Amino acid sequence: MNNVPAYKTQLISNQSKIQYLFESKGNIRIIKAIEYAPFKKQNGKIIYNLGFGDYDVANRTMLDDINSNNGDTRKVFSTVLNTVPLFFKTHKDDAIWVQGSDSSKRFKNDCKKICKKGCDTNTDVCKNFNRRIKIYRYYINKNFIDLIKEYVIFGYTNGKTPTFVQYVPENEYIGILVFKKK
Amino acid sequence: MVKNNSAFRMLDKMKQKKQILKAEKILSMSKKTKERISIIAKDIKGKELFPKKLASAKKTFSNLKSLPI
Repeated sequence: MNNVPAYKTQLISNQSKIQYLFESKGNIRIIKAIEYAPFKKQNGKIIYNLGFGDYDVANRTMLDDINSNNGDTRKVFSTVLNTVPLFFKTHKDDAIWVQGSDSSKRFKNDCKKICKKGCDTNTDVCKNFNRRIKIYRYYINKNFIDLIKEYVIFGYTNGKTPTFVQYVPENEYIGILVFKKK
Repeated sequence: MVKNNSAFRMLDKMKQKKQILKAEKILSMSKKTKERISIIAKDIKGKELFPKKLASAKKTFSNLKSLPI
């Protein structure tokens, strides 16, 4: 069991998309959303994208490419994880796809333009690249033995020919695909 | 009796195994937060909340011929 407290979530949509809202109570109060959105059907299984971000009150939109640094990262992450068993309760045969908004080539190129981390912009190195997926990978690596009892996990590699491989802790992946074991 | 005990232990183990991602403690939500969330929910319910991420996911899976499972 995950021993980090989670915020209570409010289910706001349970139709084709599953959406939750909750309030992060860190330095300030921020409404956050979790969304499982279907985007592909293959071999009779539906793949859902796990989206997560802050509600921007001023623009009435969601932001998934900012770091709110609200001081409660572990609780927020625990809240997201807490919705995974709920998802599989009603979608036993489907899968969850996780990829950070900072895992695309476009992010890297955009980040270079406004780099505040002192990265060498002449090289391919970007310290902000893949930061979000690293949080998920860190959790999976730490709890791998317990997780594989219940889930089948694949990593999406970041080479010249990206592909899905069986998840191996400590290896680098830019995306994670999760199925529930029968 | 011994058989029963081992059956209970097995059930307990199964229960524990299935709760890996479930949080041990859920922090309560105030009435004010509930009201705030219900207003926002009306605004965003059913909308595509993360269209860029969804487009990126579609692109990643566009050439996938079969699932790895």
